[in-house]
Amino acid sequence: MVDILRTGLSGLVASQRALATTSHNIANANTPGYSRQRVELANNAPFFAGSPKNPIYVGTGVNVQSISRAYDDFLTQQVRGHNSNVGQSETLDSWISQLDGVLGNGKTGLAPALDQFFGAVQDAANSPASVPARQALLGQAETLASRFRELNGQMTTLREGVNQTLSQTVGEVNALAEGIAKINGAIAQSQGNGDAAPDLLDQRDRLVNDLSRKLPVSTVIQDDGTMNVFVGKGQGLVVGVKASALETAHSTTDPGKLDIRFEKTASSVADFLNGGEIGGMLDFQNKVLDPAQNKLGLMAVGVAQTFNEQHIQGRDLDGNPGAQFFAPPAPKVAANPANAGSGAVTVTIADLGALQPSDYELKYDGANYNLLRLSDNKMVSSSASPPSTADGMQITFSGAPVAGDRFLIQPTRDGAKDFKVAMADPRAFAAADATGGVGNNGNALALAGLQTERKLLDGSSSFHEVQARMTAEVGIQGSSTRASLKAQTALLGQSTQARDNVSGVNLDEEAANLMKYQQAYEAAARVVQVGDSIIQTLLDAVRR
Amino acid sequence: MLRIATTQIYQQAAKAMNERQVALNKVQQQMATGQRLLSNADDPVGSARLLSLNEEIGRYGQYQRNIDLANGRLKLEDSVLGDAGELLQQTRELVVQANNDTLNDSDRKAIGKQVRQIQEQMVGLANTKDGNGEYLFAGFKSQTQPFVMDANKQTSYHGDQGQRLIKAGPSLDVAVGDSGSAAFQVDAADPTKGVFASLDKLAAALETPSPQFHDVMANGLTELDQGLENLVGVRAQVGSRLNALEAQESANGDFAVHLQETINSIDSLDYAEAATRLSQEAFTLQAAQQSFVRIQNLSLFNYMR
Repeated sequence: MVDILRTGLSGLVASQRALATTSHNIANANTPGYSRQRVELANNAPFFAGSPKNPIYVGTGVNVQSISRAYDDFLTQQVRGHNSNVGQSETLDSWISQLDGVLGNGKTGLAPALDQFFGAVQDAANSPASVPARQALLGQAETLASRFRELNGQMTTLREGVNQTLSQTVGEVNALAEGIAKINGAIAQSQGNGDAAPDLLDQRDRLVNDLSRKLPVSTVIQDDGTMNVFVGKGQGLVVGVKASALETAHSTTDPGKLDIRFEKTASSVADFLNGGEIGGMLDFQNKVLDPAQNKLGLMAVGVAQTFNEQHIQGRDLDGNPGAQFFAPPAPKVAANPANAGSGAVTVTIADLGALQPSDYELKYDGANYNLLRLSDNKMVSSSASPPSTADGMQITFSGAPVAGDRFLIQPTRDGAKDFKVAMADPRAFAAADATGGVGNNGNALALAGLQTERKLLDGSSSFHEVQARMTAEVGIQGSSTRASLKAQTALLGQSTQARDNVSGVNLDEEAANLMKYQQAYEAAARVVQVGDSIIQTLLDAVRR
Repeated sequence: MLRIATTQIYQQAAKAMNERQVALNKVQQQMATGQRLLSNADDPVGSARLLSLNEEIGRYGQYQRNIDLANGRLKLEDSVLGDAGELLQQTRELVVQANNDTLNDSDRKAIGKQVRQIQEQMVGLANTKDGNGEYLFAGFKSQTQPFVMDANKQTSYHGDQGQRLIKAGPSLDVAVGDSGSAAFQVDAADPTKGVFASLDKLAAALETPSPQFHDVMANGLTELDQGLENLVGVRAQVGSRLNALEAQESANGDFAVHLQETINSIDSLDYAEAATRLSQEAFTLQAAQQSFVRIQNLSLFNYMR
């Protein structure tokens, strides 16, 4: 008789647990990353009531075996992978569209300033003796110069923006890693007492999912329930209950960029973080912004150099030979701060047509000087003596390097930044050709003709065509990023849906469960009541 | 068993509606600006092409400015040369008249005075300035007065032989003037040559007739005829330059129209297409909203009391 009470009670408890779990599910129906929980019920061991000859087993009710979460490891991993891809494309897309806005179209941006400058050259050619026309030309030259510098400044602002966001994101990565390590500790402890708490597992998955948005990760679950998280080439970001921190530092090879490395280590892992928001930012900087800024610089260098070369062949209003119209461009060279030798490099432009919009690394390996073109990773020259000319650059090497010494050469990077008008006196504009004369416009006509001459990129491009190329390249990168963002967002949506179809809460299902367990609870309560009344009946019988 | 999480119902609906709204926003922006391309990524190749086309059309605008300026200068030169030709013609008539033996010395002196006047007018014409204050016939020394007549009525040339060009088209440079030496046959090194020297010689002979009077008149007539012939020749060149400018102007205009058409075909919005797209997107968004309102209302909880 007491057995009935006990059995009824077990039903009450089981239904209570089930109701609690159902309400937990309902409460978390909209919690991102929540996995619905299920009560695993099992019937109790029976009570032996017969004899060895006639064994009878009487059931003794129900018990709650476990509360587990609906979870599919494969689907979760897939969501993570797609999350990294979306993070990368989304970040890349957002930075590219900012750059795209900076570059503008044919009506805004650099193009009109360039047109107006060459228009002013023609106006000056039409009235070579007119000082106002010369003044107007200088004014347009200043406008062009400030447009070049402005555009370059906006690109530099984007570069700094990327660096700043990169540092912040690395900070967020560290916080997430810290969080994962902490939950690992809690999970190891709860697992020691049996199963790991499903809510802790959800919490950890959520952090790993957030982390995968920032950079691609791979994970391994250990026997004690902790999760190891690896990034890059398999470096452990979280190992057990210990998280390693990443940090950013100005790159020694390119001071304009950031290295990403593990704290207290020297080597950058940036090259291996090819995904997530971090990968997107690095892609933008290396594959979109660098080439664009180098091309802008090439344009500026091209305008300054060709204009100066023609200008000095003419005569100004006072019959003097033409001076430099624009400040002559100077390539940028940075010696690696870790260099141990006394080597020094200076670079000038020897052949404008051969100049490439790329950065170069000159490295001395102890025997040879290797000049690497970074835009396509091509070895331009490698010999026991320093290179003297390469890709239109005149390279002068002095001093003695030691093996491992490196120099970053950026022939056009600062071309637009350094673009300045050198001439202040309108009378100094050399409109006349070598014969001279205030009404002579021979040289001005030759200068105006530079507008359409293909002097750049091996004689393939005019200034405008370099700009068109730069705009088209950024545009193409933008449109292909947009296309892959679209595809990857769809994939992320699908995999999230697949995961949620397994793990997510369906309120109708929970409503049905709610009714089911409520009825079970009521029935179990009825059993207790019946048990009670049986005992009462027995007691009444005994009292007589 | 296929099941769906309740949040997915909301997320899918929100995603679909968001996509429609993005598309609607884009078509709205296109219609507001009239531009098909809102960013270079919309059509990178088209954008690059636009850049070149805009540059070209800008260049044609500049050619037009050059042509306007050249037209002004050449028309001025044409009229000056015409006036100069008339003056020579007048002189010629006067000389023929003076050569008549019925005239006495004082009559010839009077004619000489007229020729002298013509000589001064001629110098004045030859020193004509253009709208910018530059001398028309000074060659490259356009700010130096090219013709100076001294007290002895000798005219000297201080210009050079330079001839200024302007760009009228991608491959057409047109001269916008002629030097004094070309128009008036003068020579900076030899002041006895040229139209002014001829006029001076005639005036001097008329003012103080000599025994060789008729010979001087005959020589003078020959020189005048040569001068006139030269002027007509230069003027014809000016005329042919004006014709070339006109032809180039019309060619430039045609090409600019063609460029603008190409620009429009790349960048201009087809409003009929955009309007269709707008109503399509709006309809789809509405359908998504309506179906979402219907679905989100369905829940078992509605029936639990």
